[in-house]
Amino acid sequence: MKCSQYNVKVFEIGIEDPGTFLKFLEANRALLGQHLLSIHGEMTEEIYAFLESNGLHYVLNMTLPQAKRGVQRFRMLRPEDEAQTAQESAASEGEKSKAEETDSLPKELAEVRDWLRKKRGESTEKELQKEETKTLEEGVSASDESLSGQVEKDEEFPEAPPLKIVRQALRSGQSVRYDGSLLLTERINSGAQVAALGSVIALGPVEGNISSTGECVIVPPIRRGTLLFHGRTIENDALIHPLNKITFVDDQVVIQPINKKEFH
Amino acid sequence: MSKVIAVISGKGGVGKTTTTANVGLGIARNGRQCVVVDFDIGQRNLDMILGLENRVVYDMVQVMDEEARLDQALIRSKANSNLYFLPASQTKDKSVLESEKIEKLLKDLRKRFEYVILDAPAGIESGFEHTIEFADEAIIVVNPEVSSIRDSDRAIGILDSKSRKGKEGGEVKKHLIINRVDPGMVERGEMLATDDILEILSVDLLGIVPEDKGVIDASNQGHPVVLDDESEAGAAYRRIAKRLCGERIPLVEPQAKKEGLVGKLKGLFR
Repeated sequence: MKCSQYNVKVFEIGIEDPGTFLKFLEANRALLGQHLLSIHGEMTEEIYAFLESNGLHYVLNMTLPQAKRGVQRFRMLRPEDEAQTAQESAASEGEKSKAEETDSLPKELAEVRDWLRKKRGESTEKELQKEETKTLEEGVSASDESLSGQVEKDEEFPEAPPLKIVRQALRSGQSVRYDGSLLLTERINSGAQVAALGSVIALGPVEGNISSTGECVIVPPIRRGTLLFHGRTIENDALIHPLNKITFVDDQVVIQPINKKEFH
Repeated sequence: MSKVIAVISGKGGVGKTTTTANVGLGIARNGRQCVVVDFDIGQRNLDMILGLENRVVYDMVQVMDEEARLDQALIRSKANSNLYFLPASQTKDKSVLESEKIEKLLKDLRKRFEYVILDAPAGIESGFEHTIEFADEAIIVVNPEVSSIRDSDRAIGILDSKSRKGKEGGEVKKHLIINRVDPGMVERGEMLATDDILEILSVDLLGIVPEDKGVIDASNQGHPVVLDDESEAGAAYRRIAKRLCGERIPLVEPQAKKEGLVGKLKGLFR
């Protein structure tokens, strides 16, 4: 059996008032086109017509197997789907995954992932208490309360913890673990550790270890450190650009140059 | 104003004790009252390097346990009357150290001396943590090699988080001494360059001590190299001591022997 994984962005939305809902859809048509809409509530003919005419992908009143935190998950595809997928655009991949939602296999996978994340979350809390550097502690333990505020601000990623910025060099033996995305502006010294469930952006020299299971990792060339992206070791020799963006595209690790100006 | 300066390195064998002896003696030669304290309980070496091993009667632990008075345990250096030495216990181990007792001992030493220099044990265990706990400043001794840099990086992290000053939101002032630098090897790229080390550790440079075979012999003789006017390493330690005493002395990067005048000047004006 041949398997492949890819990420789907799901936008969850409830219908309270059909008029308001339609207005919202119209206003955000471009953005929603890149997502799989998970709609809860009662459909009207108008909404149905709008969704169809705009080619939006959606599921109705369906409970998706969802990780507690984090935005993206992997889906398994059946081999017969693969040929189709290759021909389809990124947007319509969302629809494919819709069909997969009800399969038991991906559900199980998602459960395992859920469990893993919870477990990792717990151990993170524990380790934080032991964390030596006070300044590092600040903000690392992004609590659930702070997440609720984030939901309104960031509709696209309703459950993602806020980006955490580390503005201090990490010395040997220090570690930062976080269940969201991390931005590190200073150096990561040999023997220091960075682990994020989300993306990692490191702007200073990297000599320590980075691991990420997020959407992407952005790093300068690494001489001595190691980089794990979704459990895969990224060879240091492959990081040839001043800043490298590492992502998954169709299950392949892709390393692209990135312009520093994009950050400013 | 007296200050307590801990000499740390993380890794062993980089020249911590030698540095303590030479810096202490150098400060004393500048006319300051200075005491060097061996915190390496159970493995004392500082007495030998200072040439005072046969004068040790009481030790630091006995003073802390009030079995001996401080002035009974303090040993005056033969080489300079401004320098005193407080030996470590050779029979006990690190577990005897207690924060309150150390705090009291250092308080008593501060009353008498302008510079209290503590020779930390290698490693990052309790003995190390006790040494840095009440320090105002720290001298970090490294060799220009990756393992030494990484270990001292770790030690600095603990210094920042476990010292009293760090816990109260302040910062222990840190100075870096790069020890045993072979200029020829640095030039050939076989050793880490000074700039790279400073970038990794982000600590202010106090001085660079060149590799000098005389240092080992001097240690064996109990006659620290800072007393030797011919020695390059001795000159480096003298400059370091002057900087610690508040003098502004330009940094001198050790140069390979065949370096011309221009290169030397460049080194002077770095």
